Amino acid sequence: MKHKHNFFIILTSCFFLTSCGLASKDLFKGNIYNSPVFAENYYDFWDSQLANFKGTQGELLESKNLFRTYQEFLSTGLDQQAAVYSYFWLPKYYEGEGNYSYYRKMNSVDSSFNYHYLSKLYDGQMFCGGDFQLSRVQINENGFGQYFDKEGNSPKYFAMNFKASIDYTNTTLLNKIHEVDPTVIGTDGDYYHLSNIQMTVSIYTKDSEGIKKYDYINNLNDVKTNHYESYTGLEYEFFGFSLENLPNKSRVVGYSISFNFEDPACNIAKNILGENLDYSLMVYEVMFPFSSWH
Amino acid sequence: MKNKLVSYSPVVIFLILEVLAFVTFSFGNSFLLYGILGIIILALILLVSFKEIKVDGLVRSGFFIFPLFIFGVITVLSNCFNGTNIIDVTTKVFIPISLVCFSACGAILSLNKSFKISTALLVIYSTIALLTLLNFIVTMCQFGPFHTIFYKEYYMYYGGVKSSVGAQGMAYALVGYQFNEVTLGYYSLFPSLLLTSSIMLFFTSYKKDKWIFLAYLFFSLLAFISLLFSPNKLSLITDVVVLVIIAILILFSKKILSGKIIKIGSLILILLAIIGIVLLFFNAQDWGWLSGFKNFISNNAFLNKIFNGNYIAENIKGILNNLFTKDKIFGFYLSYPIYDIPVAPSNSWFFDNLFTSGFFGAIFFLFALVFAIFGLNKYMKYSNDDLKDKTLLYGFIITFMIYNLISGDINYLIFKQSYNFLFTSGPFLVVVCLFAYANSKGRCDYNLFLEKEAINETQA
Repeated sequence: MKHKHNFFIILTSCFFLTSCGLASKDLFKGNIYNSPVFAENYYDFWDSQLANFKGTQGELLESKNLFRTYQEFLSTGLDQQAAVYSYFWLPKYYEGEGNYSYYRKMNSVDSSFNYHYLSKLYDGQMFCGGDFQLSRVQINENGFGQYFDKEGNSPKYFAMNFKASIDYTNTTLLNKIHEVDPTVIGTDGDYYHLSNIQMTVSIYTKDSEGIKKYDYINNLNDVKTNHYESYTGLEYEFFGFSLENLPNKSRVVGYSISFNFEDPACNIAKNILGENLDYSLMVYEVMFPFSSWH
Repeated sequence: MKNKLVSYSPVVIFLILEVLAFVTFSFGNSFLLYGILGIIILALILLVSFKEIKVDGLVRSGFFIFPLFIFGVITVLSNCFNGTNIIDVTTKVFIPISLVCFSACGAILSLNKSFKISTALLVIYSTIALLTLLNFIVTMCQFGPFHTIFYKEYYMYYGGVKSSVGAQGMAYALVGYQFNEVTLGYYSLFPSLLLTSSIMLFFTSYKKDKWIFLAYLFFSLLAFISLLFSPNKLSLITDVVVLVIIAILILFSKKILSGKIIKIGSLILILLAIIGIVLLFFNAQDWGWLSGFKNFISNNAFLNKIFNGNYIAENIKGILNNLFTKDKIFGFYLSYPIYDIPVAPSNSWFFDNLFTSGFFGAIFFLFALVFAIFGLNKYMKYSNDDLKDKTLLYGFIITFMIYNLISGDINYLIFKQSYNFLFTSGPFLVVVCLFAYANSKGRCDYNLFLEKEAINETQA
């Protein structure tokens, strides 16, 4: 009787395994975030471990060795080896020796970065290359937060390749904006205007007391902002900063990105035309170079 | 000296059973290792059993082993393996070597008195049960039960790209030393094989053999639950086929179904198979005079679904259409030069042998298989092994071959490039060993039966 009792306890407890669903949390419906409707493509998911930090302020840290272009990045000396790599102009299917993103992409640092929807940010593809939504993560001001599968140890700097974009599919509204002020949105062939962003990159570390949030807040002025989908490479920002002042950086467990913006086209749409124009950041790549993961 | 060697027979048999377990488990997924182990176990069994080997036995087994060897050699020299780095040179050489070693070992085991097929089958089924259990637990942990239904049209992202297979076609399995995302066809192979353990339940009873009964009951339940919790259209078809095989075997063994019905049924199936292959071949060709026939198929919804309307049929068409073009008669390429038309492997060993080994390699494989099946039938009828063991062995072998005929996945890893050829897989080497055992034992016991009949006639 006792053996039967134990057997059924073991059998029942096996079914509790089914509540894990570890991989099922990373399953996404078919063509999610790949809609022709601009506003349907926002990835605004925060992992549950970071959900409580959404909208809160962490400890403010100064962004040292800030850079906004590849040339500025090279001049910081954060990555001495990068000087021999060519500018990451080539899309991922031309990756190979001499290409910066090929050597610094996160999925070559640790295989855990191959998983999840956000693996798009760790595959070395810095540009659209004609892949549009398939190559990037589109975010709104709420941004997203990722809790890593492993803990990172001592990343040297944070780098992110992105471009800003308004809803270029809303051609009717864009034409109206052009009529109000042609200097903001020009004619065809004129791919971008300028906007201002207050970018907040938060790094999360873990210690005996739990998870701590550290904010790197930067005002980025004159950010090239797409008003026409293109992949010429001109509209991208290679943005980042040193992580030398990050406390407890032997246990980096996650990061989040959110932002505020000031865009003249959106202002015209809202204040003059009484309409809403979507604004987003298209993030192509995120890197934590020179880190180890366990 | 000779007596001393023979006395080590039980130890050698134990080692061979360990190797069979290791290879069935596909531990390490290293074909090179299986090949080396094959050489070792053949050497060991030869040392302790050389006295039992007779010339006519060698000849009988040779009809199975020799074509397999030729198949292996042709495969190594085929377009698929020659000039590519899919498998390196040292490992390629072990394709014919492994096939010969495991088949020869199986044939010689049938002559060794220390070897008990019931023990070997228990070891093999226990190993498959362990593998099935591990795969089942990990898949349930990752996806939960019935994920193939709940997560239909859901995809994983890997390397920045949506997976080619949705969650409904995905599971986890131990490959090498880690659990990987695999196709459901590969995952379902092991529980489908394990399901044949239910045959034993019809031949033993709890009262007679308590622990054997409980073991096989556990295997059957595990297989059933594993398949139930990850249902899929293709695996449902293969499961029905497996259950029909099991039912026919049990009815035939218990003499409820007569041998004549089996014979007639087999002949009908073979005829249908030949007609099906001929139709597939003609449907794949671009010959003008076949346009009427091809239109008839494409205009019929049911026939179109079978012959044209699925990716397996498309791949089979690609193989059959290009088989006699350029140098494809010597096998297809896994990676194609730009000027050539890419052809993908099908889901079936029958057509994949044309792909990997070319036309002549496939013919030799078929010859070995047909000879082995005749030997298997003799084993069922004349061998003095226990009926339950014979039925179980028959079920295991036939299920493996038929499962891989319908759902034999070469590209089984979803996020990594790796090829699971039938002849480099651990379970196939074990099947080859069992085939050779049954073939040798069946023909040997058939000869004994004929001798007895002759003696009885003389006495009468």
